[in-house]
Amino acid sequence: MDPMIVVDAVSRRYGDRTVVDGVSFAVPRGAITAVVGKSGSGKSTLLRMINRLVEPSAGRVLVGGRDVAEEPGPMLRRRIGYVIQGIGLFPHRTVFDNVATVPRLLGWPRQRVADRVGELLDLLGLPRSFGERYPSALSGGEQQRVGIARALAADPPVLLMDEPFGALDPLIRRKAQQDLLALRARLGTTVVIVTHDLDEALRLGDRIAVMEEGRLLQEGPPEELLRRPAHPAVAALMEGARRALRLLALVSVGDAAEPADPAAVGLAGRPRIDAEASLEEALSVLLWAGADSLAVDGPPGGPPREVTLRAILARARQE
Amino acid sequence: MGPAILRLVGWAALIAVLVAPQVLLPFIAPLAPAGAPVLYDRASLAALFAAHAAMVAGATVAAVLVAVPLAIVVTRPSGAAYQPLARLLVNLGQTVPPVAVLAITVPLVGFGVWPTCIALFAYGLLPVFEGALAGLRLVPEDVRDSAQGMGLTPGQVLVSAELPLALPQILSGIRVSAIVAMGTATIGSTVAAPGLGEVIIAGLLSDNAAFVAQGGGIVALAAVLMADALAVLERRAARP
Repeated sequence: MDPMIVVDAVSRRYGDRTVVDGVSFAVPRGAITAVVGKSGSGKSTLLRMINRLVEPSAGRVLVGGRDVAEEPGPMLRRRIGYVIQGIGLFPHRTVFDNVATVPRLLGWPRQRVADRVGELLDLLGLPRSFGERYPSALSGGEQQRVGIARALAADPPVLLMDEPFGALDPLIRRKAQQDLLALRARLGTTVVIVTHDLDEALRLGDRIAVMEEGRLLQEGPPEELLRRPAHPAVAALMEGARRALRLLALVSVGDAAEPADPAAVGLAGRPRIDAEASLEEALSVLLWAGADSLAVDGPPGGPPREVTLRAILARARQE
Repeated sequence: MGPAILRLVGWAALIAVLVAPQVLLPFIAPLAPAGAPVLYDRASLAALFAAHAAMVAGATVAAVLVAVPLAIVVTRPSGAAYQPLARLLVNLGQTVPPVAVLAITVPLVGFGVWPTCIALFAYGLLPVFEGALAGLRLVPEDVRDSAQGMGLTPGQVLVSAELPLALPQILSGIRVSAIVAMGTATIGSTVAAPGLGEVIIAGLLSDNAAFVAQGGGIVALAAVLMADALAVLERRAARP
């Protein structure tokens, strides 16, 4: 299938400073690509060239097969969701009016706008009564959800996010990341997310692009970057010594579980773990309990399953 | 409810004095020299007030029409280079005293309302410009960025985000400008512009403190009431 976004030899220069230098990669339809790099690596500029908030000095960007330079920037951006760390809600407008911004720009009839705003508040788990509030009356996490609702208002096929969860505290951040994955699963939106946090990139990205000093060092599935870093800087970013644990964090318990023998001694008494948890968490539980296998909870109605220390270790081993 | 009552009393007093100046008699009669008239009678106070207010309103509106667009232009990326120039011009208007402006403009446009309006306009530009500039600069970069990122055109960003967010500061600049104009307009009477300055000057010339008190008092009361009304608007605009 055609990729949703193609970034083709894109560069951006400011005077004699090259901020983005000949970057090429593609984002498959419905995938999340996480762009990681330090601040100043050019990752935000790269993102802003996809919706033409920044014009490339060279190269081109295709979204849905069309060159983004073909249509005026504002028209293009109404079809592409955009979420930033600072959220940037209109402080003088209610949550409802904030979320309704793009549908109104597109000239939707009043009733359709109202229906859509209600739908989005539901989707993001915000009570509909929030529609009448002003952004200042919401918590940071709620504001960020409104920001995402606003970005998704016109049902854009593509969502660009620049450090969207950077200002949230760790617990809320984790929840926001899970919500994003759930949203993507439900809507099939193609997402490019810029972050400086490798854990966030590994948790969210189907693919990861590593930027340094304007150049794209490597782009591919997380496991590939962990197992075969193409550049010393990528290896350093992946923190070589911890990469076995990072690999485990990518795999869910459900994927590594094996059918358990119901007659096995003490199956019921063994420590348990949810099928949605990662193998990294499973390993931690095993180490803590001093056990060598865990009973797996869920999905409901399935046969009893277990995850063994042996299976976990096999997943973490160098190939 | 204190401020509301005070506001009501103020407006009632202003209207009473303009409609029936004789209510002032008990208060200002002692100020008039023996045998001299207590109430200014060469023109009606209401007519003078109307002319005075019209000059203030006209000059302030003109200052807003020039200074706000100027502030908008110099806060656009393409106009940023003109900011020092705009500042210089606007500051010039404030540096030259209105009396000097009168001296310069009377030979050009003659006596009367026009030189006064020009002086008030030039004097009023700076507060409006600086207020608008400060307001537009205070608009959070994230708001601008996300608005643009959603597909608002630069004009839409200005109208639906920047101006509403800058409105309290813009109004504050207008308030300062209008208050200053209200007081300064009295000097217009030196070049034959009709206004309350006429009453004050007549009082000064004939050593009649009662005239000075009624002219000055009405200007002061009007300035306070106007400042209060504009401050109310400002607070309204500042609410989310």
